[in-house]
Amino acid sequence: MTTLEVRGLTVKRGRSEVLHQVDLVVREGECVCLVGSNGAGKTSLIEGVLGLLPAKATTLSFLGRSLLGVRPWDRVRRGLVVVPQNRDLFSGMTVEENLRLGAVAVGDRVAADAVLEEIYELFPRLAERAAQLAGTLSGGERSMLAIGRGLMSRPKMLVFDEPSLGLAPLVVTSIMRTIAEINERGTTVLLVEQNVHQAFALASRAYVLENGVIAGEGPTGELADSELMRRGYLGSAATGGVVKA
Amino acid sequence: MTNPLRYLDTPLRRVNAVVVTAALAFALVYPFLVPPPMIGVGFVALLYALRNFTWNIAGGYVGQLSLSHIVAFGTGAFSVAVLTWRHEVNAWIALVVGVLISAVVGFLISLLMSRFGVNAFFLALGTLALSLAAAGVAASWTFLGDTNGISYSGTEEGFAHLQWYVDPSGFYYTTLGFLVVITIGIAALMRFTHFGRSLPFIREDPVIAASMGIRVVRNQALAMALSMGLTSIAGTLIAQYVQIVSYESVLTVEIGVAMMVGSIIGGAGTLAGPIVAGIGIAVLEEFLRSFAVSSANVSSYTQIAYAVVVILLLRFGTGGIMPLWEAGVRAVFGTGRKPPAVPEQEQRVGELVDGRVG
Amino acid sequence: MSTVLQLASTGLLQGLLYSLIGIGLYLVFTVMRVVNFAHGYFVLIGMYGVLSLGPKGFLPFLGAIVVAAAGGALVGYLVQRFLLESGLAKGGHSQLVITLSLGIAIQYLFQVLHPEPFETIPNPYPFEAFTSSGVTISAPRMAAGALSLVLVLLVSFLVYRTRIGTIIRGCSESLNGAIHVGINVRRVYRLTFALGCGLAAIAGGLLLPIQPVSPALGLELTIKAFIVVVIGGAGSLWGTVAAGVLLGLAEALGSLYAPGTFATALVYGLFFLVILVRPQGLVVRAAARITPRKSLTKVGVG
Repeated sequence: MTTLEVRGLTVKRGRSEVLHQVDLVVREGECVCLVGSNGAGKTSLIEGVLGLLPAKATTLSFLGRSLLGVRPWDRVRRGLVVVPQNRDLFSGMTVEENLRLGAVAVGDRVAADAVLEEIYELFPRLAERAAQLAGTLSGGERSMLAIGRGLMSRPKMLVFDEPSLGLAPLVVTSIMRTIAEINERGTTVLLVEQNVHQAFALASRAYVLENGVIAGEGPTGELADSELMRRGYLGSAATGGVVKA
Repeated sequence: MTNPLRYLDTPLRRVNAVVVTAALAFALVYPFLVPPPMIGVGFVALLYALRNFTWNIAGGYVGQLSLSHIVAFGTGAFSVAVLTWRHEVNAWIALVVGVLISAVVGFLISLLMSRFGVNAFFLALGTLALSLAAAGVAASWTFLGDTNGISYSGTEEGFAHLQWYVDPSGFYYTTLGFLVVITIGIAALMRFTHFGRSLPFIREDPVIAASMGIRVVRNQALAMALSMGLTSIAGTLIAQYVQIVSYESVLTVEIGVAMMVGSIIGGAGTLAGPIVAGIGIAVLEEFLRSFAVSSANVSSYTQIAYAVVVILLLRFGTGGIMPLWEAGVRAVFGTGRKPPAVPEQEQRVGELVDGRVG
Repeated sequence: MSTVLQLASTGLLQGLLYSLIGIGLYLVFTVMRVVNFAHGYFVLIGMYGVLSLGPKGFLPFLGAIVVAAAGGALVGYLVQRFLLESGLAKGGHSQLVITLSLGIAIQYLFQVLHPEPFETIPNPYPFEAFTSSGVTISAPRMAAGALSLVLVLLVSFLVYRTRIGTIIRGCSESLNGAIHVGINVRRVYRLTFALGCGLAAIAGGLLLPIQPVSPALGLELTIKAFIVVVIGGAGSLWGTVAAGVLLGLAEALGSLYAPGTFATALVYGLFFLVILVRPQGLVVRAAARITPRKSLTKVGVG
């Protein structure tokens, strides 16, 4: 069962085209990663899929239903939840208020209290800081809160936009482990990352994004050994054709 | 610049040149074609054009959406009222005094706003508050005639005294002269001086402008000084014409907003836009009056019309009359050779008013 | 001394009304980052609305206020939906000019419809003035102050204790965050704007028996609303309330020393200084956030 199907996605930022004819598929239960260096278009892809940027696509469907023309918040309500790069937390509100807001739009479907308990179990640090203002949290805690908030609505797919950004290595490892656990518990995951090692360690399949186009894709094991990766993947435009592993 | 005709390298410029020449020719002979009351209307039209244009120097080119220009307008009016009508100082001297005071005030306002890092909203709000304060002061200060205003007294006539009693042609041609000289002067400034060329950059992104070595704060303040100083001239002219000045006639927020709105409707970043809009509004007012609409309601209807037009303009994202004109001409005649990038003429209003201050 | 007490009492009650007017603007300001230069004109809609309905008696008066408030809210909804929404998406300051022009359009519309200045309605309340310790307060003024306080409390309850209030606060904290949790931010914006305008209209209805209405009042009320929001509102509604009361008191007591328009000029002048200096809290935060949200150009909400 395909959770997210993207074919021929082209995304514009202002007047410039930042993504060109991108194809991407995520199947139910998978953990797929999308890697690329700075400026490759990773966040643009996420924003295009979510509807925050103008996007054209041959196919853009989630759980079998087309997303084209659907408002971003409605896409979120259908179960496509993004944990954004900026975290976009409600800084002036407490940790618990942030988490509860994660479920506010789907309140009738989800028993927020029960999910909250699960989140606190997953992130004990958040439980400790439940009454603390989100704006006063550390980087790692903010990342945790953003993930926890995303989980509150029991998403069908969770998209992580560079969860490791700006975090210390130990914290990154911990976050990645959590993401793996979330995937093991049944949530489909799309991990968008600059940190190729961590992403490949987690994901079963990978896409490589370079200058707005898919430069490579395939099972992570094979892709890791490929020409593409061996080149050090500096993200320059020197690529020739697409490398399929 | 060698051959001026080389400037006319695109259809748009050629069309514009033709239109401008025709308009100027028409303007010059207009008083001979119409009865004296209509000459007065022509004068008012040119006056609206003039004050819209001078507002636009700070508002459109630099992006400082100021509501304080009314203070300059009022200063020009009160300057001649106090100095010439009360103390028999020559009207031209009074005009210059008004210009200088307004320029200094404008310079200080801009400097103050920059110093305190005020963004566009607070600029608008602050200048609005200042204008209201000024009006309040004038309404209570007997020196400025408090609520009754100052009435004309004097007997001289002629260009040297900036006053004509029977035939408005004098006012008409004087205003036309000011308009032409100021327009050409500003156009030259924008094109040929470092100062003038820096202004659109400041409007678009003050930070980048600063990194380019542009002295943003100083140039903004100078632009504001220039803008407000020149606006004062319009105030002096209308005072001499109407022959009475009070806070209610020259320090109202409506006029201050009209200058801003008029420029935006015409096309805030352009040269001709404010002029065209100013003339257009005068025509509209006259049109309404011709339908025997009561004079109180004429001004109400024009205000409503102004507001509706600018709202629709901004809502639907067109740039104003001039950008529409340019688009139309290009559609009909083609673009010809690509014109050199003159940022202020390519701007749509939506992007224009995007400019941040400070 | 009783003059001071009298003025202080009047000022306090008037200040509560200013707080009500300010609250509507504050909501729109914090949640949507919209600077509604037409806010005072929505108060005017309330005033002229009640005036036109010409209620005779207390209950009809309340009914008229409800109708006028609904009208104001509806106009606000339409303005947001059809005029402001797309402009917000583009960023920039079109909303500044649009709301300013809207205010002027409203002013002159009323100028044409009600050419008579200074219209008011007689005391609609079932009681006359209060007198105590040498201080006399008219019934409309007393009621306006009391009802304003009640309404502010209701708004506070709405914003801090209800689900919809949490949603509204979420939007004000982080628009992106709100979208990421599935909040229909466009609907929230429309609702908030309508609410702000509705509150303004209610304030207008309460103001009518106290202060005769004229179209030019719209601008003065807009400025006062801004004064209240800029000076007060350091992150909470109650700052706005405090600022409103302060303004009312300053105005009333100031009239002792500086008569006429000079006093108003002084208030505006002081406001200018406040804008320059800008106390910390709401104003700094809001100013920092009054930049175009370029990441949401196509969402259609700003």
